[in-house]
Amino acid sequence: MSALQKGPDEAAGGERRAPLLELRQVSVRYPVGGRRRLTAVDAVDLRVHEGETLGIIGESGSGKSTIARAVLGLAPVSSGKLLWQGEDVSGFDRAQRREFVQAVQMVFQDPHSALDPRRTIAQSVREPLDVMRRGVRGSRQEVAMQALADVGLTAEIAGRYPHQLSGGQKQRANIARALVTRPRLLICDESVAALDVALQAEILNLLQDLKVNYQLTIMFISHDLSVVAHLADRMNVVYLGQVVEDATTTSMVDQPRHPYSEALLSAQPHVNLHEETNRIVLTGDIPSPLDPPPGCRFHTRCQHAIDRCATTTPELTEALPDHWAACLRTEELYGLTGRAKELI
Amino acid sequence: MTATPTSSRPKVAAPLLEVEDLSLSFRSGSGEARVLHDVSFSVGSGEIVGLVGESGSGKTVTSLALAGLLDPRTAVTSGNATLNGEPLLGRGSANRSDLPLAMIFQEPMTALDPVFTIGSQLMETLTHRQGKSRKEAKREALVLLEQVGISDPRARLASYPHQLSGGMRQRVMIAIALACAPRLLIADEPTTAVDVTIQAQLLELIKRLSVERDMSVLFITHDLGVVAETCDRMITMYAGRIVEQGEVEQVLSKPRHPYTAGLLAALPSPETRGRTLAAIPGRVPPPTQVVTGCVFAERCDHRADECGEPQDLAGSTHQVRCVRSAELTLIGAQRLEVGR
Amino acid sequence: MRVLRVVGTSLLTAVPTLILATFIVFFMQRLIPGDPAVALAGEYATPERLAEIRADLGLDQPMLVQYWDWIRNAFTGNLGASFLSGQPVTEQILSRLPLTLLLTLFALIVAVVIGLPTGVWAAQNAESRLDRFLTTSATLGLAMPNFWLGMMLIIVFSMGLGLFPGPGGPSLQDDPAEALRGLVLPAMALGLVGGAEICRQVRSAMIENLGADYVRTHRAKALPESRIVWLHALKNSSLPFATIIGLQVSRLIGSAVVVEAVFGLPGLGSLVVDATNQRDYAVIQGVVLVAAVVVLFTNTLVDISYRLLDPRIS
Ligand SMILES: Nc1ncnc2c1ncn2[C@@H]1O[C@H](COP(=O)(O)OP(=O)(O)OP(=O)(O)O)[C@@H](O)[C@H]1O
Ligand SMILES: Nc1ncnc2c1ncn2[C@@H]1O[C@H](COP(=O)(O)OP(=O)(O)OP(=O)(O)O)[C@@H](O)[C@H]1O
Ligand code: SF4
Ligand SMILES: [Mg+2]
Ligand SMILES: [Mg+2]
Repeated sequence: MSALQKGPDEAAGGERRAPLLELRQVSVRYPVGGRRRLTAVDAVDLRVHEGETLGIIGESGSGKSTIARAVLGLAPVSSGKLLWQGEDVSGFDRAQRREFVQAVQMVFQDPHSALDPRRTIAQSVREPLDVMRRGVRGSRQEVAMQALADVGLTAEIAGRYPHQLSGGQKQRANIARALVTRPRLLICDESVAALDVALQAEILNLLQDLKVNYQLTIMFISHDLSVVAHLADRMNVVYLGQVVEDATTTSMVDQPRHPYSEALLSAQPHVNLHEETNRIVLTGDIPSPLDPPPGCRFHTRCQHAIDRCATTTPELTEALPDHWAACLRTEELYGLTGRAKELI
Repeated sequence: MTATPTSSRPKVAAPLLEVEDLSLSFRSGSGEARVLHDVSFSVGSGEIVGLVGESGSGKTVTSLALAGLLDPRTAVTSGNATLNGEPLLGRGSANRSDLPLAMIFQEPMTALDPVFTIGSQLMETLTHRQGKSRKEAKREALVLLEQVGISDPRARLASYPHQLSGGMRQRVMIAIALACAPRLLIADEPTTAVDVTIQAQLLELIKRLSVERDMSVLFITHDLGVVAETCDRMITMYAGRIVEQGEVEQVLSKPRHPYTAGLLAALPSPETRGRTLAAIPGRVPPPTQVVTGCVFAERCDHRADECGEPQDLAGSTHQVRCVRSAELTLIGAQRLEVGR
Repeated sequence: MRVLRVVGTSLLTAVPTLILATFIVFFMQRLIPGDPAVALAGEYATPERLAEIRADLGLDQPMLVQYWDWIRNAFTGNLGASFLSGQPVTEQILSRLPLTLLLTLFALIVAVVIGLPTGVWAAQNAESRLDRFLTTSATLGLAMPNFWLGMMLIIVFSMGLGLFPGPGGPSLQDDPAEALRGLVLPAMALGLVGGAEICRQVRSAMIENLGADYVRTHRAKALPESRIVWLHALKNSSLPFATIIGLQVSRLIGSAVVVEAVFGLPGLGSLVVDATNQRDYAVIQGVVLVAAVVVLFTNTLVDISYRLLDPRIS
């Protein structure tokens, strides 16, 4: 990184504590037939600060879940570093590893398939503790029941099997299971995508409450912009395995500095119609990550692309205070305050 | 990349689709479950009507009943439905090929036949429904693919579904639907499985085709934002009953049923950040539960004694099934400066 | 081009399989109690005489050497000579192979003709009375042993009605027409059981496909139901169908041994039964090799058909 392209932290005034979790130039490559590799995550820098909710948004296949899996050690990280409270995870000894594993928990998208149909809800929720053999059995049961109560499930429901629960109740149970190890970081991968608006609202409210009660830091992955914008303090927009924009939610929503984020924001259908509904409709599909476009990966669909975009790779640069975008033309297009369309 | 000015289209008088008192039950070993209760609505010619509601409210079964796709061995329908004067219900699957009706579905991954080419699936529709020769069918197929915005249609004819992206598959589905020369297109959550950027493309396409071909669309979705931006009128369903219907504009800005208002209030957005969303507590009553009064009463904040009485769908253009609607002031969306 | 590559790779993988199969048989048959030399010379032969015979047959060599000699010759088409008659094994097999192949082919035709339509009908009318009748029949069919079915057929159609010749007809070379007629009942005995299996597999594959989303799409565009069932759903069911056909061929060849014995047919089956009784290793090995080749060849065909039938397999 050049002097101009520092990470958001250094820019935001040096003294801040190390982020709870930090990804430094992390790449994940999956082997796909023959000698080919699919770069699902490409040199991603990402920081989650204690107490913050970080939203990660992007189209299908952009690598959101892979980022989460890389954090949990479930994806083959081929280069880069994972730092937990400033310390390199790869250098952890057994005790530290164990602590890390308990401190980072994940809630998956599908509330139905994530629970074992042959176990009661209480058994499923207790499972992470059983696996880690934490405490005596009775106390594990107590912890599980407490977690279930905290997510709003009664003891009666705890004795039921998954098929006897509604979608929202199942997702609550999944969250309870993630909570029993008293995690510090909760990763939610599309955790409300399968739910109706009403249930979605309940789960979003629940997450917000838990964040306070359990002092959680949340990494919230979703393709739904309105959900992320509702919940997250900060947003990272990913495109084809790269972070293209990183800003606080307010800054991102009010003044996106990358044409892709702008298009995503404008594509979001809204019940509150505003005067300016000048929608940007992107043409074409997201290109294959097996063969990503050179230069700026977005140039094949970008309405502002110029020749240089196909050859030069843009890096995350500070476009506004604490607002980072990876576009060669940010300043030219958006100036320091205005929006792109005022220029064209 | 085009900007869409929100257009206002002329409203047409004679309804194309008329549904009257459509009821539906599913028979099973353990008895009958009634999933639709006297559903009545109409769709005007060239009109896009949104059908919204939570999962299990009966949106899909309504469309399947109209399209004759329910299994007659288990589904019992009653009531009336006509398309352009032709009855829709109770005709066997045999003689539906001359009905100007087509349907597209939610899952573009599985809705196309995986072992036949796009071309053959498109062309067989044309040869079977419109009696075209193979040569004509091929020419027409190319035109249709072009119309739905598939680039290099000639090469795509020989592609198999798995070789296309989700968005392209949905375009092909639309092309196949157009091959039925429909006056009414039933679209069941056509954009739920695709990304927002692709959704925006598909919505544009459906709106454009509706105007160009004077085609009506019954647009099923659970996304009120999509309804707001796509539809002329909307119908809210709850537990197999229509609880509200009217112009999108009116319903969203001044909802008259607490359920519609509840759905609106539950929507997250950048503006709701840091706030608690207004969830709708409770669950949709299962189809086996017999309800005499308002079906929504159990979950409604405005419940009163009179809600226990049977409720009618009342009103002329903006209809609502709620006795208390006149006395309630419900909060709708802030439809600032709208122009559809 | 794609097909050529498939054939190439299938053949390449077939060679090790063949070697392994023959290797196993080569060593397994040594485990059958009894000594070929004794079988040949009689219980009371002198030890010297036995040693002489063993040397003659090459049985005094280490097993691996014996195997190597045999496999080397087999590649040139020479499967050695029968221990007992001294006749070349290749010749013996070739004279009996056509009958067994014909029997298997007929049985397969019977199985498909019975299993495919009944499977489709059962699926189309799933849970109806017709379906229950067909699936019950199929279950019964599967439970019936081939030899018993063969005897029943002989009793009813040959001895009772006199429609078909009974056991012990002429050979294919002597009177082809009569020999073919003689194959009808054994083919039925073999094929009915296969038909029951095909019926069940086709039924479950078709039920799954008829409930699939793409079928709903075809119905939504008002394609004739017959076309949806017999063209679209059937083609989509063809993978399990091809698999079951491949399995059936191996099974039919195995069962042919029994059925040939019941009907007294001079096929590979009776050859191998006789050879086993007399510890005629050379013949057993030869027949096993040929059967393995037939089975592998069928599997290659099945593999190729997968790729032709399902574009998603590349
Ligand atoms: N195990 C794997 N092997 C090979 N490729 C994989 C594997 N897992 C994911 N990928 C590929 O990596 C890319 C990123 O996938 P990922 O699941 O992270 O995307 P995502 O952003 O979570 O998408 P979605 O919104 O659909 O969940 C995709 O192109 C995907 O096909
Ligand atoms: N074939 C069937 N047999 C029995 N019950 C059925 C059948 N199909 C649907 N149902 C029931 O009918 C009711 C309405 O289902 P429907 O699929 O129409 O809901 P929907 O509004 O489309 O929901 P979603 O948003 O989840 O698609 C549900 O209670 C469902 O369980
Ligand atoms: S770098 Fe070029 S192509 Fe990429 S987003 Fe900026 S303007 Fe568009
Ligand atoms: Mg994902
Ligand atoms: Mg549905």
